Amino acid sequence: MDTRMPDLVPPSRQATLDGPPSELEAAISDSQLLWGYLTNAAMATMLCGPDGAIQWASPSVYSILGHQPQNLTGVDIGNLIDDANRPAIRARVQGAWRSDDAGEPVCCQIYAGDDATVWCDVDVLGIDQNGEPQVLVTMRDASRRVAGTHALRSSEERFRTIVNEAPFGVGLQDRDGNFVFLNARLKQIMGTSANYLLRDELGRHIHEGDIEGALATWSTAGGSDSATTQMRFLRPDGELRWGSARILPQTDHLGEITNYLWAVEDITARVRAEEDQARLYTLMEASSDLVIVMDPKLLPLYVNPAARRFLGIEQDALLTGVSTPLDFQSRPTDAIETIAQHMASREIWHGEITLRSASGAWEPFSAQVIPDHQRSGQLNRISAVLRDITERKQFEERLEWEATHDPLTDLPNRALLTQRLGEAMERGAHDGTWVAVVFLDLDNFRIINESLGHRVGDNLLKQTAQKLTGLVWSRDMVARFGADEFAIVMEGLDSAEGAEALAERIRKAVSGRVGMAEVELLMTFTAGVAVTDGTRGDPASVIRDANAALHEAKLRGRDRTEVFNGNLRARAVDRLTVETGLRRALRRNELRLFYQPQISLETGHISGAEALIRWQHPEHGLLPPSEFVPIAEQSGLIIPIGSWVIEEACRTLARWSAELPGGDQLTMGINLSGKQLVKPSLIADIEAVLAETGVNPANIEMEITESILLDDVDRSIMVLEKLRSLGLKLSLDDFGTGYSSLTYLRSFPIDVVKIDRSFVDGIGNDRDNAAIVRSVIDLSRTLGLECIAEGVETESDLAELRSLGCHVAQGFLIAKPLSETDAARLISYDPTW
Amino acid sequence: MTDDLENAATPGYAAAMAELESILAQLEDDRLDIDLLADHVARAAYLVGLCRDRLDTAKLRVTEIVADLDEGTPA
Repeated sequence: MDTRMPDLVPPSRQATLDGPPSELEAAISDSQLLWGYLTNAAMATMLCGPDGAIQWASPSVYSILGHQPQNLTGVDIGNLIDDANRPAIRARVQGAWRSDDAGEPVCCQIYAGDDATVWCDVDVLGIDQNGEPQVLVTMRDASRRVAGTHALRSSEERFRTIVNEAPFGVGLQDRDGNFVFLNARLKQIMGTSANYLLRDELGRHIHEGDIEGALATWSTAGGSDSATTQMRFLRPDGELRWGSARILPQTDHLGEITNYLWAVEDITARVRAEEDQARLYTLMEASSDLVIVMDPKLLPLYVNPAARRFLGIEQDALLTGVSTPLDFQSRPTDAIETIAQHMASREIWHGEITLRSASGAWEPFSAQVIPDHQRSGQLNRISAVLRDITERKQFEERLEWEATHDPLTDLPNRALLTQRLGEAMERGAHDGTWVAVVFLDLDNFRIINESLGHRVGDNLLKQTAQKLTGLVWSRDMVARFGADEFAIVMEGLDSAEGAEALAERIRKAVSGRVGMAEVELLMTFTAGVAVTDGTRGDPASVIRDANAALHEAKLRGRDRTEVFNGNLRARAVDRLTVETGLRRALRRNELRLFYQPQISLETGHISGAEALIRWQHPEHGLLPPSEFVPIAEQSGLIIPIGSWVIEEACRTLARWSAELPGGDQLTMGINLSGKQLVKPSLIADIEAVLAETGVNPANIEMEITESILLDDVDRSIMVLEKLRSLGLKLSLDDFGTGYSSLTYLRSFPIDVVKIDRSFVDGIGNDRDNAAIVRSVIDLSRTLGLECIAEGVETESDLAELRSLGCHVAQGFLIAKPLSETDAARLISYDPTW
Repeated sequence: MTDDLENAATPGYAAAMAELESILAQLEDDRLDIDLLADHVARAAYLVGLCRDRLDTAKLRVTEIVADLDEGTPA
C-alpha cells in the first residue's frame, strides 16, 4: 500500500509531510494517538469545527478523495457526503463533541474531484483540542468492500434463482425439523405452496411409514456427511410421489449443526418403472415361453427358466456370467444368420423357427426377435420371445393330413392324388415317360356293406388299401377316391401299352376270396385306365378319362379292365348327343311303351303285362332301354321319363280295364328307378295319376331292383310302405342278381318276387338253377309272396316252373314286348299256355 | 484494503467468490445430478456466508485499526 503513495501524492505534499508540521500539526503532534490518525495514509482525516467547517485535512485526502487538502479548508464537511447520508453525518458532527461514543462507521459516497464519488467508511469522533471542541472525521476507502458486497449480492440472487428453479427439490430444515425454505420443485413434489413447514405438519406431506425413516436419516445426517433415503410424498390430491432425499447437515464455524439441506429427486417414474420391471421379471420367470436377452454376439444377458431348461443352461452359470455365446441349432440351419441380418433393419423379426433343445429334441417355435439399438445406431442387445408351437404344428399337420387323406384307409384322397398326378405329369412330360391313372372299383361293395354290415365293409376297404399299397412302386400313389373306388397313379412307364397289363396285374392280385365275418367273400374289382404322356390335358381330364374307362368296364359286366381310348371318347361324345336327343324326345313324344304279357301258371291265361320303354328315334329307329336309360339315369332325365312311364302305363291299363274282357283283372308291371324312389313328390304324383286314370291300384305292380333298395334300406322301406298304402303292389325285380339273401325278403314290404332270367334260363335242364328257383319259390310261398319268373323261353322251362309252383311266367316263349295295340289284340284272343 | 478481506482462514474472499461463481456456473448446467446439486448448494451456501463474514470483517471500526496500528508502532 505504501509503495503506491509516492506515485499518487503530489511532490509538494510529499515534502510537507516529510518536513516540519504546521502550527496545527505541531499542536496535535503532542498526542501520539492523534498523530496516528492524522498521518495514517489509509484514511482521509479532517478536523472540523462543531459547525462542520473543515479546519484541516490530512495529506491522504488527496490520494483517497482526489481533493487538495488546502482546498477543503472552510468547506462544510456535509458537502462531501452523499445526499442520503448527509443529514446523519451532519448530526453526528454537531453532536460528536458531546458524546464519547464514536458509533458505527457510516458507509457513504464521498464527492471526490471530477464529479466522481468514492465509497468510504466515515467515522466521526469528538475531541477536545486545548479546551476547544473539535471533530475528527475519518474517511476510509470502502470501494472494494462495497463492490464486493454488490458482487456477493448479485451472486446470492443468482444462487437463489438457481436453487429456486432447480429441477430437483431443495429445502432447508432447521435443527428442530421445521422446513424454513422450500424451492419450487420441492413444493411441487410435496404438493404445497407453503414457504415453510412446521415439523408437526410433515405428516401431511410425507407418507406416515416413511417419517420414521426420515427421522433416522436426520440422525444419520447429523452424525456424518450426508444420508440418502427413499420416501413417499403425499399430495393433497392423494397422489403418491416417490422421492430420493439426500440430506446434508450444515454446520457453523464451530462445527455445530445449524440446519439440514435437503435435495430431493422425484423418482416416481423410476420407481414405477422398477415396479413394472419387477412384475415383468416375475412374469418372464414364470413364463412357459422362452425369453432370452443377449448382446449382439449372442452372449446371454437374461435367460428365463423355460429357456434355461431348453438350452441346458445352469442358473449358476448365468449368475457368474457366461462368456460363451448361446449356441442355437436351428432348422433351417441358416435361420439364426437370417435373423441376425434382419436385426440391422431395426425391425422386429416374426416367424417360425425350429430349435434343438439341450436334450437333442427339435421343437418348433413361433418367435419374435426384437433388436435394441443405441442412439448411435449400434445394435445394443437382442431380445427373443419364443413360444413352443409343437401342439399347433401337430394340429396343423393333422389338419393337413386329414384334408389330404382318407381317415378309414389312411390313403391319400382325391385332392392329394390330383396334385400328385399333376406333378407326375410334369415329370412325365420332362422325362418322356408315361403316367397311368388306374381306377379300381370293388364290385358289389354296397351289397356287401348292407348285408354284412359297415364294419365288414370298412375292413374290406382297409385290407384292399393295404394290398394295393403293397402292389405298387414306392414312387406310385394309391388313393381312395370314393366309397368303393381306389385310384392309382403310376409314373415312369416306358410305354402307354404297358399300362393296361400293369393295371390288370394289380386288379387280379387284389381280387380273390377273403374270409370276413365268418363268411368267405369273393372280391372282384373293375378297373379303368387312362394313360398320358403329360404333354396334353390336365390331371382332371386324365381322371375323367380313367373314370370313363371304369364306367365302360362296369357296363361290360364288371370284373374286368378297360383302357380309355378314342372309342370311349367317341362314346362319351355320343352320350352327350343321346342326352340332348332324350330331352327332345320327351317334348316330341318319341318315347313309347311296349308291354310284355305275363301268364298265370295256374290258369294258363294272360294275367297281366310289364310295361317296357322304347325310344322311337327319328334317325336310328326304335331303341331299346339299354341305349338310353343309363344316360337318362346319369343326367337325371329318368325323373320326367319315369313319370311319363307311370302315366302312360296307367292310362293303358285303364283302357284295357274298360275295353278288354276281364281287363279289370289284368296287372301292369311298372319299373321304378332309384332316382324316382328318392323324389319327394313320387307318392303325390302316383296318387294323382291313379285318381286321373281311375285304375285299381291293386292291379299295378311297381318293380324295384334289389340294388336300388339296398342303396338306403331305411328310406326304401319307408317309401315302399307309402306306395303300399296307396294300394299298389310292390315287386322285387331281378331277384338273385345281387348279394341279398332270401331272408332279406322279409325286410321289405313287398308282394311279388321276380326271379331273374339268369336263374330261369334252362331251368328245365339245370339242376342247380332249378334248386335255387325252387327254394326262392318255396320261401316266397312261405312268406305269402307271389313269384314271377322272367325270361321263360322254352316249354321245358315253363313246365318246370309250373311243377315248382311258380305263380306267373314272362318271356319270349309267351310273347316278346308288344305295342299297346298288339298286346291288346293278344289279350283279346285269350290264348292259353 | 486487500488485507481486510484476505486476512482470515482460507479461502479468502476472492477465492471464495471465485469458487462461488464456479459452483453457480455448474449449478446452472442442466446435466447436474442430484448428488452434485446437494453438494454444490451446500458449498455455495457456505461460501456466501463466508463472503458475508469477510465483508463484515472488512468494515472495522476506525478505533480498532488505529489500535492495531498502535500495537505495531514502536512507542
